[in-house]
Amino acid sequence: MRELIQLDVKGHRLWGTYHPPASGPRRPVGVLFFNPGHVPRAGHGDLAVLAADRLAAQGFPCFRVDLPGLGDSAGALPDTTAELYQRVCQGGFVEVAGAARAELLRRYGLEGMVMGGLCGAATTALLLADQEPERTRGLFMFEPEFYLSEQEAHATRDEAEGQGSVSTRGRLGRVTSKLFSYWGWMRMLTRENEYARLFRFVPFPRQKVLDWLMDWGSLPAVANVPLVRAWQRAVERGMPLLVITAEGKLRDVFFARIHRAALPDLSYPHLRRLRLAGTNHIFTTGGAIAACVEQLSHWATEHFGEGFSALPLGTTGFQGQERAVG
Amino acid sequence: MTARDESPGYIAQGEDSLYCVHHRAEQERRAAVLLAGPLGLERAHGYVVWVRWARYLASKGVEVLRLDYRGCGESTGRFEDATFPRWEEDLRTGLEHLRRLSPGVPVVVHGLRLGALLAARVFCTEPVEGLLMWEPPESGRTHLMEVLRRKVAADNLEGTGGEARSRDDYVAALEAGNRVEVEGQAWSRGLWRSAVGYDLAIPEREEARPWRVVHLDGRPVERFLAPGRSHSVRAPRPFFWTTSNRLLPELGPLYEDGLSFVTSTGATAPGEGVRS
Repeated sequence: MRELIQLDVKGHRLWGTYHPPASGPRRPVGVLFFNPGHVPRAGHGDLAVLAADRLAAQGFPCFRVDLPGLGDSAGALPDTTAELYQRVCQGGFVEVAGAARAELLRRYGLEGMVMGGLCGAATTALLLADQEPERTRGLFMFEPEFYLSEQEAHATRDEAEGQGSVSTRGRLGRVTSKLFSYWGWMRMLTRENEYARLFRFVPFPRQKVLDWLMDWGSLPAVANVPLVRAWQRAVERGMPLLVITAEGKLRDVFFARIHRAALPDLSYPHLRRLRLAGTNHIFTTGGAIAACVEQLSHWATEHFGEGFSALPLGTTGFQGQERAVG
Repeated sequence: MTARDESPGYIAQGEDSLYCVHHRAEQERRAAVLLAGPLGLERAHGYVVWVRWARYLASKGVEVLRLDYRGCGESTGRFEDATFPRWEEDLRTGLEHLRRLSPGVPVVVHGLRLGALLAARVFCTEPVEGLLMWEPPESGRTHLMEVLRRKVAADNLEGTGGEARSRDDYVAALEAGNRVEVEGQAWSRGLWRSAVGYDLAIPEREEARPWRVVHLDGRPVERFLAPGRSHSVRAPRPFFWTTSNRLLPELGPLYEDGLSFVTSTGATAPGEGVRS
């Protein structure tokens, strides 16, 4: 069973879907999904719907909300996905997402909320958890992106280099842009562009080159630093965290590097990290949606199931769990 | 707060619920349109434009109802049970609902991609006043094979999806009764078999009611699916229902063409010229 939700917050009318918990004891913590990028609240391959149905069957009240301009909610959108990505990276949806969460907590009488989703949803959830940690009980982040968009990274670099750099690029820069493109190489090495197919025919030490390109000890220049800091604080607070990435893909590699650089000496006992083999960024192949739903369901029950109580802040102990799921 | 009058809701469909959104006309009602959307990732990627098309129509005095088929998006049901005839039933249920919401105005069914296949079938047997099809596939099988091609290409390119296979392998697996994961959804033998023989129901030559095929690839007249009843509009590539860098592509000419078609159906009295 599903019910519609209408939320009038911050001058926006948002539409969403409520998955009431199955009969039996209702968990005091809700689960809230945001939009993955520009995609409506159901998610790619209806991932969010399937996950919410499963969690509701376990007693969790679940909510999926379309943020302004996305899905069925009215609102202005930029012309391009790159601009939308930039808006998400800069926390453009955080205020309204926070108001939506507050209204859901009030309306359904919940103690707190677990939040997340895929890609942009993870970014918004993490930034919101950082700004308003009080009623955030946990985060689930699928394919989180801890780097700036290419356009934004270029703009940042141009700003830093000043006006003169624009004219020094020009024709030669355009010619060599492919060959010396950081993103081009990263995409190829993580098999996300058309040249990656060459690896099937030509022996190539892909992983070695990737390791060589990566400086595991420091944040990359393209890191979304405010988001990385938010990640550090979320880990330090001891909030239960679930991160699932597509093994060997761009976000997976970046997450590993950023996580390692940002938290070199910290323990993170409340982080569960899973790497799904043979899938893509949106989890629509290799059985990733089913695996993701399964893992989220286990994680939620383990942390917020029977006997759940508010988590103490601070951490001690061992390193986080990391597993690859094939 | 938006001044738009949009009401999401559910319509009962057996044991399931069809999710729909009703966009009320913002000025005097001229017509009503039932929107039949695309399948799977095409739905996900095309949603931004599809919703804005509905809003555009509403702003011009057209009532709109759009819905999700059973097992897709916000509607309940299992995708594993999906077949083309079941989705067609869903569209008929949506049509009844729209008629109740908007009595006395001409009703047009408008489909995009998979939705165009379904809409054409509904047009043939229901007393609706017009049919508009954007980029319809030639048949259900053609459509599913095209989606399978995308899967094979993406998996080969990205090294995902397990052992590389061809479309024929997947068809064989479907025929053998196995589920095949395609763009995140579990295709079944039932879905595959229901697509075989599910051709685009091009209305007959003597059909009096207005209908139109719109090709969005700017193709020349000699390649029209329905010569004499087709238009060609060049929409930006990649198309908005595939992965695109443009959230809001320039579709002014397409919208104007569609609106002109929809409002022109008012010239035919409701129910006139329908085959029984």
